[in-house]
This record gives sequence, structure tokens and C-alpha cells, in this order.
Amino acid sequence: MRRLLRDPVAVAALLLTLALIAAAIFAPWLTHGDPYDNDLGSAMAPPGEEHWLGADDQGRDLVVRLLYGLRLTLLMGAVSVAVGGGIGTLLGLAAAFYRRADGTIMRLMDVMLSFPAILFGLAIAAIFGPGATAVMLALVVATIPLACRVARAAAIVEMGRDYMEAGRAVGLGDGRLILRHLLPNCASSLLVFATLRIGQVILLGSALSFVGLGAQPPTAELGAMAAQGRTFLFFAPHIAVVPCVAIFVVVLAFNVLGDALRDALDPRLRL
Amino acid sequence: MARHVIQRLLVAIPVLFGVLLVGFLLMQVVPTDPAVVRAGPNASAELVAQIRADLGLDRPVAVQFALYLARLLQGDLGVSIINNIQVSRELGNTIGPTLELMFGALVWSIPLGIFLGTLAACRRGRPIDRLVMMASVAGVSVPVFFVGLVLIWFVGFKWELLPFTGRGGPIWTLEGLQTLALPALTLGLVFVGPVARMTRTAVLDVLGADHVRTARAKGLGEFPVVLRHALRNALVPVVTLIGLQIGFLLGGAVVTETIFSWPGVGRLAVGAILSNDFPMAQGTILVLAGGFIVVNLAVDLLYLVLDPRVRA
Repeated sequence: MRRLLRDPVAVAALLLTLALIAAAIFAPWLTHGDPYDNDLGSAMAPPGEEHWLGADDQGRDLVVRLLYGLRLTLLMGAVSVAVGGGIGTLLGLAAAFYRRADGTIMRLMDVMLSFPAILFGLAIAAIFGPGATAVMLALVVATIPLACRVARAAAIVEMGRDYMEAGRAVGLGDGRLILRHLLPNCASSLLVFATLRIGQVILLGSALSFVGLGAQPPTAELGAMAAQGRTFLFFAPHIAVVPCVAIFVVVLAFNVLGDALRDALDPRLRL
Repeated sequence: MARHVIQRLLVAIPVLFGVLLVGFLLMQVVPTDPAVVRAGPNASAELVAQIRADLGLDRPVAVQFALYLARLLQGDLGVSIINNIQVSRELGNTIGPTLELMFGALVWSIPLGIFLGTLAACRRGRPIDRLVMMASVAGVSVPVFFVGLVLIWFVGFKWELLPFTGRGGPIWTLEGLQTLALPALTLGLVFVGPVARMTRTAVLDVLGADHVRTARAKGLGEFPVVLRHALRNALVPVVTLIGLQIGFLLGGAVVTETIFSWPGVGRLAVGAILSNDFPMAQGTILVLAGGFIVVNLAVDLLYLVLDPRVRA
């Protein structure tokens, strides 16, 4: 951790990430507007005094929408990575711990890895209908096999350590051994994975929303907002630029932070 | 070698089965009765029953799945609910443009990425290395649609240099090339970053190897050392890693086609899903998944050819 704090770029990325998360959490207290409150009088207003970042085609303030969009986008990313990563981690730890299940689990993961995430997105949106839930489901499914591989690789190394043998010798149960001893020792690899994965998942989710398969307008979600801005690109480019830049900054922050964490915690891990 | 190939093909079987199952499921959630759709609005009840029996819709699900597979083998993907066009015909019209777009994006972004990655590796730690790495992190963080919209606004709208909607014709015509330029630039730009990054890592690994030190020790200049000894060996992992990025490219293609109204499979898929055209959605997903499986298989087999060590 000290090595991480010595790198100015990493510190900047860490601060930026924390600031973005804070802005998303405290969005309702940071602004007093409603992201769905329209005011046709200031429709497509360019950035200025009254609306710092301008207003969209319905006259909704873009600062407010940006903060709420950030909130939803980050929430979708975090939930997808937490659920998909959680399931994948448990499977990966199980594969490393119970060697007999290893083959079956990893073959299953190979099959899941044979589909690109965008196809999960298309197929799930086709079956359940477009929406934020369909996108999150697709992102979860696409994250499981990746997390499983990372967890298994880290756990296999740990399985050979003395403390696992010792834990077994004093008669600890499997569940306790896996969750209380194996999991914490794989945590650094998983943290790096999760940080980098959130960036990828946000990029993917916003792309699905952009083409219309994810969060539906008028929902304040960054990808959907960019799609909305695309319609008015030639009259009011700021409507599209604001959410696009926001996605870029969020993903960049997570990616730079993830790279720095990897260099500091686990130089062997490469995704 | 043969064992590896067979093993690889064996993994492809459950994958293919999974794709077909998803396609079949898609057809099961169709809210309308396909027999009624085929029979037309004025058909008698007997005719609908007749068609239902012909299609096997009164049989158990497992039998229906088998019948579905049989129809697929004959190239029958059904008919669009929206405009009654054969799904297979529509797919035939859109595959070409999608392949053109992918080719147009890869033909310049892979060489450029490999060049930048090699350059960064050779100048490790210097400003040029930092610049390339920063650009590549930015490249993997930027949404494809942002790049597309910026290019449309400047190149297409403000400077009026290139067209930005639709496809003017096949790639070998001037109009075709003009309309392909911006979409191919958009999709390629987000691909340069990952390729450069992977190449840099691979070249750095090889630069530390014994045979490179030997080449240097015998007095070879920097240029032949990098080109003949380092890059050549680094290309093996780079090819595999590029193969792994094909899914990423596919996602980018879906978005790029949507922004530029490029008449490809990705745009067709999105349109079909948004208009609840289940047969069409099923067809596009089958084609995209099938194409992805084939490319992955090809990359894995190429890996066997490139790296003799795997064959042993």
C-alpha cells in the first residue's frame, strides 16, 4: 500500500475515484434539482450561469442529471461486479479446494468465456426485453468466469501454504477454511480484478444503454443520456459531450487505479 | 498436435450447443403463435392446426428442439415478424458490411498498435514509452460512441470531409471506401490501445531472454535484434491476445454500426431486439455467436502453427 501512495498518478486516480463515488452517493444532497424536472424554456441551453453544464432537449439541468446518471451507472457497475465477482470467486475457490470439482467447473467457465459479453447483452435483452436489469444480468454473467479464473489461480498458490495444512490439522471445517483462511489471502488479486473490471463493465453497460438495450430514456443513466444527446448533436453538442466525458473519466480513473494496485500488490497478475 | 486440435474442437461442441439452445429459447418466448403468423390473418382453424402439426409445435419440447436443429441445418431461420423477409436473406445482406467494417478497422489498427507497442518497449521508461502507455490506457477507457460522435461532429459535420451515415457501396468502390472511412477509424481507434499494450508486454518479456542477449553480444545492431529476434517471438502471444479481444471488437462493432447507420449484423440485431422481431434477433445472435466461435477456433489453431512448443 505504501508503494501505491508513492506514485503520484496512482494517488490522483485514487482520489478521483473516491471523489466520484462520493459525488454519486451524495448526489441528492449536492444538488437540489430533480433529474426529471423539465423546463422547456431553457431547452438545449448551452453551458452558462444558470445551468453550469447546460440543459438537455427537455430543459433538464445537466449537472443534476450528470450526478444522478453517475449514481446509477456506478451502482450498476458495482452491483454487477459484486454479484458476478462473488459467484465467480466462490466457484474459483471451490475449484481450487475440491480438486475433483476442478475439471467440471473450469470446463463450464471455458464455455461461458466462449461468448463475448456483448452477446450476453444482446441475448438477455432479446429474452427479457431491454432495460437496466437485463444489462446488469448480462454483466454479471460475463463477469463470473473471469472472477472464477482469477480466484482459482490465486487460491491454488495458497493451497500449498503451511497455514492451510495447519488449519486442517486443528480440525477446521471446509467452509471455515475456505472463507476465513483461503479467501482473505486471495483478496489482493481479487481487489485488483474488481477495480479493473468495474471500468470494463461500466464501458460495456453504457454501450448497451447507448444502442437502446439498457436503461431506457428518460432515465438518468450516462449511456442513455449520450444516446439522447446524439439526436441533437448538431444543435447542442454539449448534451452528448457531458455524459460521454463523464463515462471516460470514471472508466479512466478505475483503470489507472487498477493498474497501480496491480503493480503495487500483485505484479504477477495480468488481465 | 492432433490431440490439441481434437481437444479444442471438443470444447467447441458444448459451446455450439449452448448457442443453439439460446436461439431455440428465443423462439419459445415469442408472444405470438408462429403457426398463426405463417397461416396469415384469414386462415381457417384447420389450416392453423395443419401448419402447427407441420412445424411440430404440438410435439414435446425435446422433439421441437430437434426439429429446430433440422430446420437450421437446411438454412431455414424463419421469417421476420415485422416485414416478412426471410431472416437468412437479411443476414446474407448484412454480413458483408460487418466484415468490411472489421477489416477496415483491423487493417490499420493492428500494425499501428504493434509498432507503437514495440517502440514503447524499446524505449522503456522514456517519455515516448510513457506517452504510448498513457494513450493506450485512455484508449481502453474511452466509450466507442464518444469517439464516433467526436469524429462525426468534426470530420463529418464541421469540416464536411467525409460522409457519416450509411454505406455508399462495396469496399472496392470509391463511395464505399468514403463511407467506410469514419466507422473504420472509430472502431480501429479503440483497438490500437489494447494491441499496443499487449505488444509492449510481450516484447519486454522477449527482450530479457537469453537469445536476445546472445544476438546483442555477437554485435548485431539494435534494429535487427528487435525486429528479427524480439518482435518475431513476441508475435505469438500478441496473436493470441488479439484473438481474445475479438469479443471486445464485436461489442465495438455493434455500437459503431448503430452510430453510423452502417447496415451490418450488429445494427440489425439491435433493431430486431428493439422491435421484438424474435426470429430476426435469433438469426443475428446465432450468426454473431457462430462467427465468434469460428474466429476463436482459428486463433487457437493459428497459435499451434506459430508456436511449435505447443505441438509437442
